[in-house]
Amino acid sequence: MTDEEFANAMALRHEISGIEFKEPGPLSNNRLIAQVVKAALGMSNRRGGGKVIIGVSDRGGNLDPVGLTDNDRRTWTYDAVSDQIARYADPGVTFELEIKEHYGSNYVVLEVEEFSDIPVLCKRSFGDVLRDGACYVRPRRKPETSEIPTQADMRDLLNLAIEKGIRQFLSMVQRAGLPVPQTVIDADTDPDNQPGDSR
Amino acid sequence: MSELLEKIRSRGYWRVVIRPHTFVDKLITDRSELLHILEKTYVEVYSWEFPYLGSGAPPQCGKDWIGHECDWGRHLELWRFFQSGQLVVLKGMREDWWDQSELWPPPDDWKHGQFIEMADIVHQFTAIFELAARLAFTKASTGQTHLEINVRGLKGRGLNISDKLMDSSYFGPFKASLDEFTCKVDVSHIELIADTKDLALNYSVALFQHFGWEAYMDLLRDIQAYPRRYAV
Repeated sequence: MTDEEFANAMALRHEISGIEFKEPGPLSNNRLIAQVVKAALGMSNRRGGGKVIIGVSDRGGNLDPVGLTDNDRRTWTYDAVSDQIARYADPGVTFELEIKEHYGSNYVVLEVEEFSDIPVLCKRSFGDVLRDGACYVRPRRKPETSEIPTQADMRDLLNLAIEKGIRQFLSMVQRAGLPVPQTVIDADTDPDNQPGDSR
Repeated sequence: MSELLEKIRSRGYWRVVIRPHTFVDKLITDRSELLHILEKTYVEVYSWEFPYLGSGAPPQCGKDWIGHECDWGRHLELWRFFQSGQLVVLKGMREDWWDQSELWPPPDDWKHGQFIEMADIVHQFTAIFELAARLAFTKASTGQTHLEINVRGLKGRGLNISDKLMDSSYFGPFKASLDEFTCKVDVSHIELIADTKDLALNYSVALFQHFGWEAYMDLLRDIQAYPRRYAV
């Protein structure tokens, strides 16, 4: 996540489909890590993946970017977070972790990648936050992580998995040298031959 | 002509047309389906939707199209999506609208028209071809896709290559001698879907040649695979 992207995200003061904020705290806060895991599972089942930003308090619906204390920040190492997510995710979740500084405060950003083959399920429960067997998603029309709320969201997720399968299959077909219709290319960089703007 | 269209055209910009090869007037029979299609297919570049659908605001509507206009910070974009399956996007080069960014102001010596980011070009072409591939799975397709990509306002502009790549690839400076780059392609859905990333790189390379830079494919593949590493 670039510094500019991060600044834009913090300026929003509300969540969007691809970004979820979590309150500050240490990795030893079990409830917090469960909430972060839930967000990461939802992002992994979202087309394009998404980001989880830790260090933003939610005060009655108003997001307050307070940041993490130095002691809390030091607990959020990649290996420690990876271990926690691996306890709950099946198959695994691919992510990167970075620390961002913003107006003198530090935040942890998890950039979660979209699943590679099949959607990610939760394989272990934690209190009322995580449920064994649940499939968490980020519904397009509501920026929150939840179990699949509607048949339309279910269809979207299945279509994404099917689309991935088709793409992998067609890539294999090409690599195997089986015939594929060829592209007709017209790359023209001569300004005398440029078409007018049709708009 | 909308004010935003004029504004976008006043500096460097991208113009992208993605449409089915065969014209069918009402390929998508119900106009209300247009937004659903884009909601399922849009691509994200630097956490920004392409095309930008807005934060829940309803789209503009015409007789047989929907559209949206965005003028926020460095993001200037205007698009129309027609029931024929044609999508037209005009997008200001974000390098040229830095003076509009309150959150992320430009350096003192910045002027628009000076440069275009190399990594941005790779990301932009990748997003365009990825969007076309995703559309190929929807009702907005007829088996073959026609793509047109214009990049305008290039003359005299430098190709900016991040410090992160200096050691391996920068032997500049590279400047565009022509003002406009255009490519047109008719691509089968099989190739579009199977070869999305390589197609995007081929056209990135064609644009880099416009600047006199012979790009290394391995480097470009790395930028595609690890966009965060090369983000600017």
